[in-house]
Amino acid sequence: MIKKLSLVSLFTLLSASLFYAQTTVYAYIKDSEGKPVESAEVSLKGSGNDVVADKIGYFQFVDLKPGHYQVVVAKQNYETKVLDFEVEKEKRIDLGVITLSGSLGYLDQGYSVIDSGNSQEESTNQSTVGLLQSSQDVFSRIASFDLGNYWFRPRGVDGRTVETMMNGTPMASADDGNVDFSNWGGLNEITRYPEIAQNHAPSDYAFGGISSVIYKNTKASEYRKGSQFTYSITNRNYRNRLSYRYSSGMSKSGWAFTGMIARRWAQEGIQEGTYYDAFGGYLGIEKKLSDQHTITLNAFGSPYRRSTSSPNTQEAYDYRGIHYNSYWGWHDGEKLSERVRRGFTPIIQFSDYWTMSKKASLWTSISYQFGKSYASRLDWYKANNPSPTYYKNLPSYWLNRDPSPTDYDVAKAGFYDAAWRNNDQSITQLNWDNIYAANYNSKYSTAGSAGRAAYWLVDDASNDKIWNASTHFTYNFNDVTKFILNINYQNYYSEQYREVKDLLGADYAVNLYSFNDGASSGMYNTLDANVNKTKGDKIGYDYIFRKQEIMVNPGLKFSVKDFDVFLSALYGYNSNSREGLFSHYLYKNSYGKSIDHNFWNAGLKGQVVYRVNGRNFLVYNGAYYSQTPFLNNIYINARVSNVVTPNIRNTVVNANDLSYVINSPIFKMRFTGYLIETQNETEVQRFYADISGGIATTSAPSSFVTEVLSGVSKRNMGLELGIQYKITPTLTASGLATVNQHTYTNNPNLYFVVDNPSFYDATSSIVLADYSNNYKNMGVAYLKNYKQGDSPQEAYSLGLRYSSPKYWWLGATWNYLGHNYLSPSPATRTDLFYTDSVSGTPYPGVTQDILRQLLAPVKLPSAYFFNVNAGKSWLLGKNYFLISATVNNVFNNQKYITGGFEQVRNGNFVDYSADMANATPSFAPKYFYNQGRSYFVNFQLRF
Amino acid sequence: MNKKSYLKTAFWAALSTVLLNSCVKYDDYSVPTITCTDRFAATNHVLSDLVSVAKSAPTSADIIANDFIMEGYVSSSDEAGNIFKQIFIQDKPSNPTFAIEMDIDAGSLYTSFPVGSKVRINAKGLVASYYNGNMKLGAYDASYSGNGQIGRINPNYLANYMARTCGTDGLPVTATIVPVEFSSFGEATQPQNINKLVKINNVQFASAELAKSFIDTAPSTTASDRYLEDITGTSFDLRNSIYASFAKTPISPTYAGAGSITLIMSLYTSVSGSKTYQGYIRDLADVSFGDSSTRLSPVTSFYDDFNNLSNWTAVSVLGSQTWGTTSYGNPKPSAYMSGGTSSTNEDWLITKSISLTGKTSYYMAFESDGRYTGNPLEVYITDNYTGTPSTTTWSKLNPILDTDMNAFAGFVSSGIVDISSYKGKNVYIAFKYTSSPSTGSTAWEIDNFKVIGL
Repeated sequence: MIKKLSLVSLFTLLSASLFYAQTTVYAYIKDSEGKPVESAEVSLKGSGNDVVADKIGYFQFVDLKPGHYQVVVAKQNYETKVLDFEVEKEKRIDLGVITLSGSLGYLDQGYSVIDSGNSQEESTNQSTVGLLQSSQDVFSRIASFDLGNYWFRPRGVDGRTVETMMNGTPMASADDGNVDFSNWGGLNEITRYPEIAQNHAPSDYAFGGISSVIYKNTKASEYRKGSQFTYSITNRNYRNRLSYRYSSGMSKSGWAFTGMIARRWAQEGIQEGTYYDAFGGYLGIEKKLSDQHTITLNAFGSPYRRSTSSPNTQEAYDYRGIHYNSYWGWHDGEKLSERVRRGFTPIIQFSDYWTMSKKASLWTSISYQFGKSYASRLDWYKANNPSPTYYKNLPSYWLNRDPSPTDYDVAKAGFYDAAWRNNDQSITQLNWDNIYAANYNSKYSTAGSAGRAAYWLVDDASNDKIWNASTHFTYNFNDVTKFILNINYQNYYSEQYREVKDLLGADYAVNLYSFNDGASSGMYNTLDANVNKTKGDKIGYDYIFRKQEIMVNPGLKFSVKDFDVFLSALYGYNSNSREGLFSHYLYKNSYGKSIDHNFWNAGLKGQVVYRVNGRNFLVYNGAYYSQTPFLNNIYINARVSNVVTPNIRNTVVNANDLSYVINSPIFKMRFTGYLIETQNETEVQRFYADISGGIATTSAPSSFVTEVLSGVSKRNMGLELGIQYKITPTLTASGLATVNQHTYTNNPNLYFVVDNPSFYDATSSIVLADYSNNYKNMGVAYLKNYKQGDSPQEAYSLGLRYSSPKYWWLGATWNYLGHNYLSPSPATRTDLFYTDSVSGTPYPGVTQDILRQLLAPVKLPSAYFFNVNAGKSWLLGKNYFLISATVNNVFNNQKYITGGFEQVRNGNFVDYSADMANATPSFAPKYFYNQGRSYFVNFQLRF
Repeated sequence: MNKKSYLKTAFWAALSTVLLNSCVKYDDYSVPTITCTDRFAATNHVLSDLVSVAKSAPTSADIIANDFIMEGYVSSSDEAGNIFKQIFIQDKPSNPTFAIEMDIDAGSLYTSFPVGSKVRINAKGLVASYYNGNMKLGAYDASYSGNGQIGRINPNYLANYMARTCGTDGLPVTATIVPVEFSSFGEATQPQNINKLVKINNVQFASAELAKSFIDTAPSTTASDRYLEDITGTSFDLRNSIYASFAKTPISPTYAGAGSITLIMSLYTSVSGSKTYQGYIRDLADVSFGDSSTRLSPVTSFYDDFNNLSNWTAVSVLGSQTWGTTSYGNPKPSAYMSGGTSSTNEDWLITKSISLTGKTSYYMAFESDGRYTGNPLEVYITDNYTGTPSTTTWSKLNPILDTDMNAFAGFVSSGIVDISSYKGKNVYIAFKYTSSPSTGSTAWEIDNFKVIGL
């Protein structure tokens, strides 16, 4: 009978196993030594039933209707276990023996989101590893809990291909596809135990992408009745976490209520000069109207405020270590950061769960999210770049700028070397005194521009209003055939603008282009004659993104003999537009509403499970679908123009995997080979750079650069092996091995969008034809066969865990990550790179060999990491107390680069090769470093 | 179970397929294939065709309207900064027939156009100025409106006008520029040499310059003139910029001696219209001088600037016209002979005896200017003059003579004629003039005749 068990916590691929209707489901609960566990709380999600196991650990649920169920088995001092199963028409379903291990190491640790805090700053390709994933097979569990700390992404796919859904609502933002986990930051107890369709397997709830559909209904009645208090200490972006949850349980009158509040904070996080202050609030109300009808109201609200840290060149890291952060400086004895993110974007969701008949059910949700979020940075007008890591503030610039440095250069280099070596923080950090002094000098000058800010802080703000309506309909045609229909409609509105945050002592800031040459007005908004802006005024850019999308996702599950089949289809339509509210002095198409850019999407996913026997399975998953680019990828210069990425098309994904699965009580294994082909992808990177074209440019302004790769093809393939073996009832070994190859498979076209008009001018009038479109065609980027960056392509992990019957455990894992590559910068891999834009021919001295050497992929160092975790729990009267601790990277390996990017300032062969030939290149790649040893200690009290 | 084992086999086969699916090796990454593409179409003009569209003082109406594509070779370099915002281009890498100056408002042009670059120039949109034999190509700019003046090309648009050209090997063509060699400044400072790369042998800095640097350090100036001399004593203006990397390099001791110098020959016309030939070296490698021990100390054995013919014997063999002097010259006066309106003449102008003793080598030089078609002048030497030209055994010398017979267009240096084989002897040197009604008669002016011993 065990073959009918689909134990999702170990093996989620098999969510389609067959059962039969009007059914009694039962199981025995035992501990890891095989002794019965009495009085465990067993709650059945989706039915509202809660039972308590008896003295021999037996429990049952009777009269279950066909459907998908999830059982949570909880017992104080034991690990909470989650099982998924399907009821079709069986008379009785034996879930077998559910083994509860001693208290949990992984799940209550609280790092639901691994957030580097700086990942989105300079490069949109960095991604976070998703939600706390409870229902996972052994491979995925190790990959996310142990390797995810070190930026390992299974299959190397963009984290944005995860579909994260809360109460029927997709949570990804339409502009960039990212899920803002801070919306429910710290509320781990609310969002854990989601249902997961792994990788590109079809899901009951949405069509999804290629890295999992994660679905969570937050029903107030499904949380453990009573109070839970958790306090954690860690050394990450935040240092403290405090949370309190209360759940009322379902009252006799059919009401349930759950509330949670959490705060995560740090005076100073692991990175120098960063602080963190984030609240998380949740309120859930559930009313059971009848056996057929339940309604819920859920609200999430999480105001946050935190400062971020900078990526740096190796030179800066060598001087100041991996925790160096250039974004802060001393001001009145405080560490003041220019880069502060804050926001409050609450979500309110109303859901209706209706069991229409014995065969049909319908869930309906309406969700509204609104609010503003801000990211600040320094801006300046006719003043020097104040960043301490501006290249002229580092010794390398002075040593590199001339093959035989002058005495002046050597003196300058010596000065900066001493400053950096001795950490003269007036040089190595933002110098707020100088910044304020510049503004005061302006304020008390007699010039006509008196009071004009040289420096001021701006907020890049977004004001979002997102409506979402969704339905989830299921219908059981017969015992072995189930039909699912998901329909989702979203109306996305986001006004994105910059506003003056702080004038830093000045009277006003001007809404003008700093490097204007007098040929035009230089006004960022020609409709507004008043260019002098004060706090709270919009400045620079202002536009609205709108997107409407409807997605229809029918699914069909059926079984034939030993085969379970799940087919899921997608039919979608979306309409995208931008409306400019500023009329830029240069870009004619900056103001007004763009035409609607409409896309149709279609897709098909399929899963076939072949049950070799009760313990051996073959599983095939396939997906073939198209996906609309995100708004930021459609409108490549959205801040100032309605211009659309040339040749913008839907991305087409073709993903296949084949797994062999063994699932026995003492041995579990998943062995998978996968192949993912992606075509027509639009890759967009945005960053600030000092960039100019042509010759004879004196000083290049710092420009906001958008780098667009159009028509990218990629192949991700590899092998995954996850094993768990129970050596003794208390000692478990688990391991993971994965070898992957993630490459580009074509040479896509590259476009540059730069908000500095001289970029187009200076590269001669040959590009003036493109200038009207505000982008420059850089031609083909030769990326074929380059390794994709930002995730190790080889990983091994080996772990041992001892779970004592005395309610403590100790676990340790050894992890290896290798074959990590720096993302290749496309700009250096074009014909323009080796071609002198003036002479029109290859630079002197360029040869195929030199080019090959110069453009070789940058392999990042591989690394070993050792993680340990331990915990113990006590029952003190009726109260339950748990201490758990995790230390990752025990040996404090600080040499591991998690990602980075090649700088494009030296976009030509001569400058690039000259710079790279220097001992310390001035424009070396910028890196993100692993933050060294980290710990997480958790204290939990339930009462 | 057959089906099951079949499926298992299929599983492993599929996995192996994934594994073997063209695994990319580390060094398989693609690299752009270096390709060289000519930006401009084939030429439809040669460099000297600019003469047909150039004006001495071009106006906006003279902006070249159509594709005007020429080829040339870059002979200059602004790497050392001495040549600045200018690039010199000649039509052939060696023995060029025409050369131009382009004015571009940018430094570091050498990075795009190093010496020897074969370039195509499309003059469409530019203007050409041709004044006193100096061809300049640049942008129309109303503030540069005088004769021989021209605006600089905006470097941002330079790519529209100029590009290197590609060779059959897929690389831009780089030729070796062979300078045109001369043995005296007199030969080099001729209109046909303007803007060309030239090399003059046996020259040195004038002794007054030896204590100086390449530019005057006090008072500070943007450019300085340093004078060179050849063995005939002819002085030449070497023009140096303060922006040159060698500006403050002292001339002594490294450059105190004699040797050869390679330079761009330029003609400067002042506002008042006076013309000065000036040379620009590209860098110090162009100055191949020895130390002070190699300095040349020429001794003039004979010199005449023809105030009269007292040092000469004029012999009229045929015809009524005879050698005399004229109030033209370089400077005036000069010796003069014309056969009138195509009458028959044979007239000799013979030096007094010149002693070639005491030095190791001897040279002769003079300047000539001719007008009207006729026989070339002939120059002879003898160490055994009988007193009668017809009975004397003469050896013919081959100096350079003026060939432009359309006008008295300027004196042409004879070059340095080596007469060292007569060392230790007393010699006579003679000009033989002939004319006839059939050949016509040229009017010849001769000036600055000298015999130098070294």
